[in-house]
Amino acid sequence: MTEAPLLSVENLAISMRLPAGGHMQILTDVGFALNAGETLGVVGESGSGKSLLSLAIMGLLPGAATATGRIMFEGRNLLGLDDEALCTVRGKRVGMIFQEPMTALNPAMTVGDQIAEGLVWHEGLSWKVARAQAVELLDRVRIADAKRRAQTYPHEMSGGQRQRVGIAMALALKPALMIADEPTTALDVTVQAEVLDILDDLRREYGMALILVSHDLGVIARMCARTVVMYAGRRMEEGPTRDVLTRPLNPYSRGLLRAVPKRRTDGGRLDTIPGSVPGFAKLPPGCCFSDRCPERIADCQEAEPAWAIPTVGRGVRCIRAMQEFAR
Amino acid sequence: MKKRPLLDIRCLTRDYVGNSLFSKPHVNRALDDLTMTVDAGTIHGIVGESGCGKSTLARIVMGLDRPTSGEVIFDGDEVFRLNDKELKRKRRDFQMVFQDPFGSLNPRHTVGRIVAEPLHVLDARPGGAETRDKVAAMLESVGLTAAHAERHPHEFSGGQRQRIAIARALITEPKLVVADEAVSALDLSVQAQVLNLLMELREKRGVTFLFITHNLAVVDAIADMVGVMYRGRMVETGPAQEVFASPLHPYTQVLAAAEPSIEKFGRPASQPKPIAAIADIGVGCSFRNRCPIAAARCAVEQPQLRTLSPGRQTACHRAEDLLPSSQPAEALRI
Repeated sequence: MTEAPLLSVENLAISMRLPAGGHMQILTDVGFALNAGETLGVVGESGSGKSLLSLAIMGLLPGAATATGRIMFEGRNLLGLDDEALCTVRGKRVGMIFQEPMTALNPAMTVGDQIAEGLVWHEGLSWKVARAQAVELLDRVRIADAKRRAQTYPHEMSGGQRQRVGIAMALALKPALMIADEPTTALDVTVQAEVLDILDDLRREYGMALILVSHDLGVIARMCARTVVMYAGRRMEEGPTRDVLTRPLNPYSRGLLRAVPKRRTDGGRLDTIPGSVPGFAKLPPGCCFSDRCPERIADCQEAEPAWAIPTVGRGVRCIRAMQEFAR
Repeated sequence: MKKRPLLDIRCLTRDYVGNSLFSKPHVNRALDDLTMTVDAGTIHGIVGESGCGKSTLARIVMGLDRPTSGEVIFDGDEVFRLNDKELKRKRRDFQMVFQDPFGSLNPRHTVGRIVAEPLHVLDARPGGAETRDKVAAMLESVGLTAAHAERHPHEFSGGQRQRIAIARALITEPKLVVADEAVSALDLSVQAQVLNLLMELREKRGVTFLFITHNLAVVDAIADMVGVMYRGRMVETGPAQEVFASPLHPYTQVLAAAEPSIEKFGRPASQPKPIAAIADIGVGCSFRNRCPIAAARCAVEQPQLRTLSPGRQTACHRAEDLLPSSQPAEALRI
């Protein structure tokens, strides 16, 4: 018998209660599994629901959200836990790195204390010991002169340094799973490369599983073994990163890859996906990408295509892709 | 004789003086003796990391900030010698597109009013009907419709808002548009649409773009020429394609190597060097502490921008070692 994966998300659906009454479906039929030490990239444009997915795993869904399905983590369904039980998971077993290094930190607390806080709460360490560990962690994320920097406030640091403080905070409790939501979007490329290397080192060292949410396909290619492509709250395609990026099955993934800016030797135009990401209230009938899809056929707007497994290790939501495979 | 460039920037320096409450005021040099030219009808990219002075450059070119020393010659006129009235008149010829499509449009105004706003700098301000016609034509040329003029910015997506910002920049038929991170906030599929629009406007209207970004791939995709900035100085210039294909400055190489790409899988083998303390400005090369090929000379003598091969300029003492004819791998290992 195979062991249960560290994290398995099954049939996850999330809807939001609207202020005007009624519900709006955001995530639909999301599922994937992740083992210790594995990396999963979640790719999608804004409005694809990728941030809501990371909040759901973190147990940080807003009050207006209703989730169905299961998020199994270390044998427990996170969706069924009450707040008290969630507190033993959140931060301690699942860490999160947020996108905004400017706003994710408390401006009125030294960075050392912010890192130490989690250790005091979860591990019951004294502040003195916790602060000493915070300095080690800052050193670990390659902040020079860590001892002195631990006593500074976030506004005294650069964006890259703040993001490293965010990583040190998330790492303090050595979580089994780390969720990084656009961790390097606000950073320069050279700093980005460094932060990604730190994450990769720590994954290898602690056997931490990593979910990396990003709209940057290059970052995903660098970091993640597997990738899931999301659009309008649905997974469109999943598989090993190299396969997804070099032999995409879903027309949406193909469109995204073609839209990556690159020099056209013929002086021609860049490829685009016509239109823009629709709002959740304005999805087309049938397949959610059918109104923008260059390969649409009449059947695409008849019914929403089901998630299908064309071959081992790959998943796709597209009737055209499945027809290709059947041939 | 060579044609006069549209924009000629000479020895531009901008110091910001920081007044700290408890210590001596310190000078922050955002631009350091920067010289560059932009030819009419080209897309000229400026790349560099945050803090390299590229936004300061944009603000000075737009006449929104004054240089500490140096000259900006736009279309034959020295911008900072003009009086207020002349500068105001000149502004119709250069416009700007900002990074944030959500913050740069007034939410209380209709799109029509937003796009028409720059027209008030014109000597002969068009009348109501003429303005409406101009706005409608402009909106259509950026891929929106005339009916959109009645709506408010919140009704539009990020890409559409950036189109509105571009329409506003182009309504006075400027010769130069400065785009500061104009596509950075956009999603991939929309970003390509806006980049195509810029290329189309350049071809159809002959608009010159100074395109400022930290994204090398974007510059590589649309720019004719590129300037690479590091700590307020221009370290390399040349045709975009050549610069990215064979960089002649180690900083350009470092940038290009760090850029993630969908063709590079997994973690690259080479470890980037930790960023050392920042070198003193004025003595030696400001990049030397991060430079993989720094030599003794780099610590004492500041390299000046020099022409290495036709059209290619670089500010590196050891640039010859980076030429494709010598062995770049050998040079980098030192």
